[in-house]
Amino acid sequence: MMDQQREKELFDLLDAWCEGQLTPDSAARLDTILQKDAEARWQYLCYMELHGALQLDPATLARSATSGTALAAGDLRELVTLRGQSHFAGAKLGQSSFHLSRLALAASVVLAIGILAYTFWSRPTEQPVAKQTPAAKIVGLTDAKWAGVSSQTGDTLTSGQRLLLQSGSAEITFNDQARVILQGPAEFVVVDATGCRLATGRLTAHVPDFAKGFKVHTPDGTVTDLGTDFGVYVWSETGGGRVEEAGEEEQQPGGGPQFDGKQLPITEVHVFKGKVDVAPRDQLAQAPAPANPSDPSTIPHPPSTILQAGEAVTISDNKVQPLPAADPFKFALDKLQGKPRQVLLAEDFESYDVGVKRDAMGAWLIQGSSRKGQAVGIGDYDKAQADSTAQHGLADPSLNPPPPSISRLLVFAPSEPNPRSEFPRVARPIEAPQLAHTCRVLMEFVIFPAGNIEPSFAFAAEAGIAPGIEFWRNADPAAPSISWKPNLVYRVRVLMDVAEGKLRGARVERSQWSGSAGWVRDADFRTPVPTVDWTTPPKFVIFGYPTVTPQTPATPYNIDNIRIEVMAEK
Amino acid sequence: MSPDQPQELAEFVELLTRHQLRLFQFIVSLVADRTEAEEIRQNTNVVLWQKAAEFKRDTNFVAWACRVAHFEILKERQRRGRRQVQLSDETLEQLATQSIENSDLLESRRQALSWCMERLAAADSTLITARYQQGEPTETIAARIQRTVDSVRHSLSRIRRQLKRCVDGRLARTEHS
Repeated sequence: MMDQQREKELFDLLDAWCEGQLTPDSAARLDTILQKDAEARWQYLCYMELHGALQLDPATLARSATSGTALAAGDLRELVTLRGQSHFAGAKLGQSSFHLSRLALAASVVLAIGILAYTFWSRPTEQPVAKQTPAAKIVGLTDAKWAGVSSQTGDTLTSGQRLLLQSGSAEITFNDQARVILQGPAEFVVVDATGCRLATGRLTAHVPDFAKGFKVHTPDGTVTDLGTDFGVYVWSETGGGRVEEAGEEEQQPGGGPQFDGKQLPITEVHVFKGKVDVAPRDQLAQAPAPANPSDPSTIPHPPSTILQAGEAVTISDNKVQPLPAADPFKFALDKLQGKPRQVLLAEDFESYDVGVKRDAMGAWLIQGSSRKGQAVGIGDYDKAQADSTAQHGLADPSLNPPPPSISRLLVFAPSEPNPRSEFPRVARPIEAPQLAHTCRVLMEFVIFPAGNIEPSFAFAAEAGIAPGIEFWRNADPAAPSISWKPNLVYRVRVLMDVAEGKLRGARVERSQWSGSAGWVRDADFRTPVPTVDWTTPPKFVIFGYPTVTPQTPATPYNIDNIRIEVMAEK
Repeated sequence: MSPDQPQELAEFVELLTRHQLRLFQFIVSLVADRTEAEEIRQNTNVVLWQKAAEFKRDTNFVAWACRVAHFEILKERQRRGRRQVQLSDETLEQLATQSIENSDLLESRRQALSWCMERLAAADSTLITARYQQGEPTETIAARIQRTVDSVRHSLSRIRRQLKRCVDGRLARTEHS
């Protein structure tokens, strides 16, 4: 291993070389370093090959080394006649009358190789450079916050245009009528009128039959629509997409691109209606070259997977693996597509400063009791803190690896003796005339019941008095009680559709993190049917509900990774 | 092998085409200038074809082709005359040998780079595209985005180094998986 100083000197020299700024003296110095040191030469080769590879277009760069061109003899004949030379007139390869001066063959085959290599090398990529053709249009925005350049409803998007959506959603139609709803945080590129690229984030696509063939490209592969509604979600193990401000310059020495070499990107594809075709990346790169380079209809279609409505898969590391089912929860915002929407409530608590809160936080009312050390901690808890609080549980090694968003844990800790009517809670009223119309409510959270706390979440005019998931003003005493085992990680998702003040449909799911098998849905989980009257403005309430004894110590509890969204028609 | 035999012809052409990228990477790492590397690659192809009969089937095509390329690099040096900023022939020889010995590993690195590039932050990706794929000079980029030339160079260097670390990490990861 080279020592740090020598390594720095070497890379400084190489950077100068890359920029054409190397002086003769520095070149001599570089030469001396390299001559004596095999490790330095290896670093040189790695760096300079990288520098050389950066100018390759993305498709060529991704090309697998093992893909061949599988030329048949017939193809070869076509290649060698490219120059229109008459040397082969009347001759077929393989026949003994085949005569050719070697030089002529060399010249024409080299030309053929040049052309074949060109086609092989720079196959038209998904991202044409600097074309200004209009390809799509933004037709709606909901609470959209952009990183860098802001976009407006009505903006035309051109081929190659990149969108960085920090939060909220954007509805985009492509010239050929495909409609995409992009949910932030997301990084999205309009490729052309027939395709787009999702580098990170979530989108749903609705593609009518006549626009079949619309493509969504992701880091893991390409989804081709076959006349359908589907969703694509691209995320990575360290917790989903984040979008940097364009133009931001990293000041810290360790700062820079959003990776550390250890992230695994995952693309999920869920089909709600119709069919899609899913092709992982390397299968695309390995496709043989077309028999006739100038005729695109001879470009062979790589093998892929067809998904039907109700099916879903993940693609990662070029492996396609099935998910239990298409999951509308992941794309819930899409419900009100096509209609102007208004966000009544969207919260994930991540944007607040970490800390123990009292009194108020934005529009949220924190009702804690400071005299008994009850408080609510809110914010974006980083993994380190989560790990230390997770020591209350997760002692079971079979639960490793922890769920993907373990850095965002909801932890309740017992607090001092606490009458049932006085417990810390966070509540917020929803402005509600719109609730009498149509809305969709999504709540999703990961929880970690520690010890004797039972978490509770409710839409209610006021907090209920029974633990569990509550959606109604008066808890039903006959409802079955819900048990939460300590030291298990749960994920709860609630999806409700409301129309004209009434609940039209509700789905509540609880899953347990089981380590190797991932999230396992709890098939026996039932909750009482919500009966909240949506015409009366409710509050959204979160509270932890301790079963207390005189011995339980006082500790704040933390709220994290709750995603709450309520959208209504305007 | 005899290029008059159609089967062997097809195989040779397949090898030649399949390894064009490796050939280019080998040359450009030693020559730095892209245009010159392209020219040398084309010259190499002609020679490889002319020497096709010398290539023994089922031997290491990449090693053979790269050695020819190395020779073409030296020929080009002679043609252009010794430049002030250039590595010595001895160092070039050592690098070429090391590159050939480690072709597979360098190839894996190239593919890992593709993965790493996908994960560049948007601003960095835009800068790389402008500088490398579109070939925009650093001075022009700097003027266009209203930063100093030095700061753009600094960013390019930062990005390259981080890409390299990513590739290093990616290879270490796949080694142990």
